[in-house]
Amino acid sequence: MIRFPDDIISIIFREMGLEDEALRFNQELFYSTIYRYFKLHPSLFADFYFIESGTYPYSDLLERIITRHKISRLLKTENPDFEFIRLKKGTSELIDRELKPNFDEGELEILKSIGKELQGKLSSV
Amino acid sequence: MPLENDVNKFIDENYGEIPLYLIREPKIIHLASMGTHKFFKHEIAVIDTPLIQRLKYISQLGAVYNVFPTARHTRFEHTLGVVIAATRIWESLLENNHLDYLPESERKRILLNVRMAAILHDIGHCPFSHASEVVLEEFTPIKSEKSRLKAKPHEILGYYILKSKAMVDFFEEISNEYKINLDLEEISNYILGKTRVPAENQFIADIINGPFDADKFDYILRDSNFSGVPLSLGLDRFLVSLGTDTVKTPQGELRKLILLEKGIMPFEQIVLAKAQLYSAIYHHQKVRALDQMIISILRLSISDGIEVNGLKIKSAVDFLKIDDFDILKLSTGETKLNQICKNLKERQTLKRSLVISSRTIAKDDNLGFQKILKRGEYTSLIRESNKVLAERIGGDCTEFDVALDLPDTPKLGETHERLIKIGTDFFPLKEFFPQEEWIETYIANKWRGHIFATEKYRTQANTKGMEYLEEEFGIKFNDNATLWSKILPSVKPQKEIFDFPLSDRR
Repeated sequence: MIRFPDDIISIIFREMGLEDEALRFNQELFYSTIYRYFKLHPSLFADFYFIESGTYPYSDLLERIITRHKISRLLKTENPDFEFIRLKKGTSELIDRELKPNFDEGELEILKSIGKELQGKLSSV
Repeated sequence: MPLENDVNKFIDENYGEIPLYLIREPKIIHLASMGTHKFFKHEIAVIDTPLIQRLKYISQLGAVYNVFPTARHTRFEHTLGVVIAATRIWESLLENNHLDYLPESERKRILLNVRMAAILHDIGHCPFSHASEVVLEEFTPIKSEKSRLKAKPHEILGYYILKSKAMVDFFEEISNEYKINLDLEEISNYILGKTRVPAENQFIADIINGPFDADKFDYILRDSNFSGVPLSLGLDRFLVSLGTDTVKTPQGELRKLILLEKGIMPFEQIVLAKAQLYSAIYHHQKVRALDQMIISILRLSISDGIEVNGLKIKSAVDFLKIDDFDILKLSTGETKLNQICKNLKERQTLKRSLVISSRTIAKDDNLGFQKILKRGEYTSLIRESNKVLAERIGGDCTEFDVALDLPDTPKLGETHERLIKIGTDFFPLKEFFPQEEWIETYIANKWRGHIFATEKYRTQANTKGMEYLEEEFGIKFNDNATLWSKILPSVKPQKEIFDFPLSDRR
């Protein structure tokens, strides 16, 4: 089974509890957190690279992945400002069933801790 | 052979000693969109080299002129436009007193380097511009350099061209002949948006490749103007709002190009214009179909060893030896490639067979839709899908008769950068208005993927394509997927009434 970089981010969204609670998305915070883990676990984030000359670490792949989540409506943005993001109902179960089996225990633990960290950070934005 | 050596060898073999033409006086060049501008003698000497002149034969927007007939502009005009835009940015920084700390001689030296970087910034572009980059990325050396240099294929090739020995020698000759001091190494860094001393000079690299770069100013105005798709851009207002300052980045504190509060409105215009250019021009279904034809032509020339301009393409560097005209010359003959090329010239494009979007897929199939979309990340997987489709259609259908197309969306990262200065603090654009979120929502709603096919296989590509995607990704298309592809006439054609000449309409 091919592992896509999108799958990593889908699992992180799932671990952020986005199906149960919408969070105000903050790109700077989100990218900076992923960047930190990218440095810590380069093999897990092998497809990613970040430009470091901007005011936050920027990855065009990460931007494409998030947009793809929005195009597929897996990730919904809520009115009036489209700032709040939420996973579509039933998505967590699908991610657990279809995407998680492609990752080992250790990797899933890392993705879970990223998700929890982001959940905490974005809840307080 | 590492890409750097490969490019070096290519430049040495093809341009060995790059001719230096002695230019007696500066030249005035008149450019639609950007106006009249004086170019210095040494700049004309560089512009007159075959490496820059070849850009006249590389269309800025691929084969878009088959859809927007006046979009005939090339990388060459764009290059000159970027020189003018970069100079205007520099002059604005001077007028806004943001360069007062630099001695006069240093200001002049940097400006000459910035202008030269603008002249050279697209030197690595290949036939039909971005359309050929899809195929370039299929070469391993480009793939690995892409993540190492964090750059696009044409930037990587351009960067290594400037590092080649022949170019270094040529610029030494230029510097001696015209008594100037050009820093070729730094110029090549600017093309990648980098500099040797980012703490002091990141703003200079930003002028060439950054959130508010000269490239963007020219291409938005030029693409909109020549396509006949009018977009509004308050460039003058934007320029008076530019400055430089030290800001925090992951690399530490860097002096970057920043924006003052009064520039927020024109900045919003730039971001909106980008999104609209994608939706109106770059992602126009016919434009995407034409891109797919160009990709097929290039892939066929590689796989079948068909000579282009007397050359068999074996590496990414070989793309630098050919231009649009060389490709279009392949339209005579009996091969598959010849036929696609003839069709490209005669605007017999691939046709829509299936529309893929959130509005053509059943509402509950989001994960399946996501599975299709993420294949777009790897051209090899898209190509595999094309082969499966061709097999399912059967007969003599090949992967070059059908194309799964999942276009990339525009990057909007600049809206989140903390570059807008108010008082002593820096804010991102979204702090004032969640524009990026609105535009992303706009993009997500406008986005369309397609299955394209030749007229012969159009109907089969619809049924087999739907069958393949539904089986493989567990989704279900609704009626719009076929209806919007306009395969079947949904209404009886109406008789057109010409009661007066169209030109008399006011």
